[in-house]
Amino acid sequence: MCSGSVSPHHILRAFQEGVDGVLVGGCRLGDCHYQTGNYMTDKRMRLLKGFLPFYGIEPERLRVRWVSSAEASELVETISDFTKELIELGPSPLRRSPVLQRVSKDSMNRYHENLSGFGS
Amino acid sequence: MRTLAVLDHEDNQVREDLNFLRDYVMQLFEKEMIKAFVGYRREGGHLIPAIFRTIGELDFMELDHDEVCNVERYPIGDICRRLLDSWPEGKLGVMVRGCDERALFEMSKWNQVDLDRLVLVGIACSGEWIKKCGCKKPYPDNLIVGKPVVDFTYSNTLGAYLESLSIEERKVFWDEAFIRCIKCYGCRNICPVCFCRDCSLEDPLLVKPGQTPAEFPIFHLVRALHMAGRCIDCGLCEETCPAHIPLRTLYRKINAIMEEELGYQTGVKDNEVCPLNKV
Ligand code: SF4
Ligand code: SF4
Repeated sequence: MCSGSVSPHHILRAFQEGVDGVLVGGCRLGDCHYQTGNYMTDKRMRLLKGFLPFYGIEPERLRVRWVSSAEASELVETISDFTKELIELGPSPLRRSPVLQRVSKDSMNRYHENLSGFGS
Repeated sequence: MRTLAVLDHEDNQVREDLNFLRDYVMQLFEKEMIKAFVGYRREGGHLIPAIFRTIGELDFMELDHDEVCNVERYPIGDICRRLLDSWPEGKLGVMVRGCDERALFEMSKWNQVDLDRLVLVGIACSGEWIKKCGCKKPYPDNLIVGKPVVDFTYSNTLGAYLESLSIEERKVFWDEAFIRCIKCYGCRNICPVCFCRDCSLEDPLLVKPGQTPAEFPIFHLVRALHMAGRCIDCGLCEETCPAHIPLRTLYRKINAIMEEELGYQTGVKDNEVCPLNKV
């Protein structure tokens, strides 16, 4: 399957499910079976990687590597390196921090106070 | 609330601008440059978008009065797209603010509107409104009515503040915001550049259906990603959101990345198209 068929939405869904990291592997740039699929992947992933930390997910949890299924040893190496780094990073913040269950009066007031300073 | 003085057009500037606009549009009709004009009229004390088909109807045309800072805005770009689609011949005149024009420029690049079928009649936003709204370019390229205010400073205060926080603090901020969402889809419905027929936000494989708050963060992140290379920072979504979620800040960020990483700026009339749409 071409890496160009991986929508950033799929990756967001994976993070929502609580995965610790996502690895997107594609053929080397210029080697795409569909000519340009991985160039599209590159653009989408750069956007997503830049955006994730603005919400609160470390960008290191998304990795994009140009290594195809034909390069077995590189693929294995990439996966084990990534796994090692993810273990160091610890569990995903979507699992780590307790999800607020409801909006309390206090949190509502705090929210409005915080925002009022920004004229929003 | 809008004051009676405004309803009666005691304000000279508004009356002057309105007369100028009526004359201008009248000429467009006379020269047969347009078949109809999209402007505003007043209904139940509110200013609403309306279509004017004849010179006679222009008597009912109204202008907003910015100084009271209670500007009533609508997704004019979206309205034009729908009108042009269902009305396959002839040109449409349309009154645009800076944001409306940016939306139309962007939509034309996404092949959603044909600019050749539109005659843009631009109006500048007032200084008072600019302070409240805070967009980068509060006047259209095709400026016809009013004077553009150019001496203002653009600032993305909340965005800058969030960038100064730690990643953990940012997540808490956004979670506290997102948990308030009542999933009314107002942000999507009001957006002038949201044109997909099947919306990802309603795809049960992406966002769990049937629950409030909308499943977060995914609901908001999916929408943000979809606004990459599209959002023209009109702020209608944030104005609409009943939960006061600072959505604009979110979409400003994704488009800042779009500009830095992929060199694309939304809402500008040039020959570029969104890099996500081309090889
Ligand atoms: S500011 Fe909101 S409503 Fe306006 S274009 Fe961007 S996403 Fe759409
Ligand atoms: S407008 Fe606000 S409350 Fe409604 S769906 Fe959008 S983010 Fe949620």
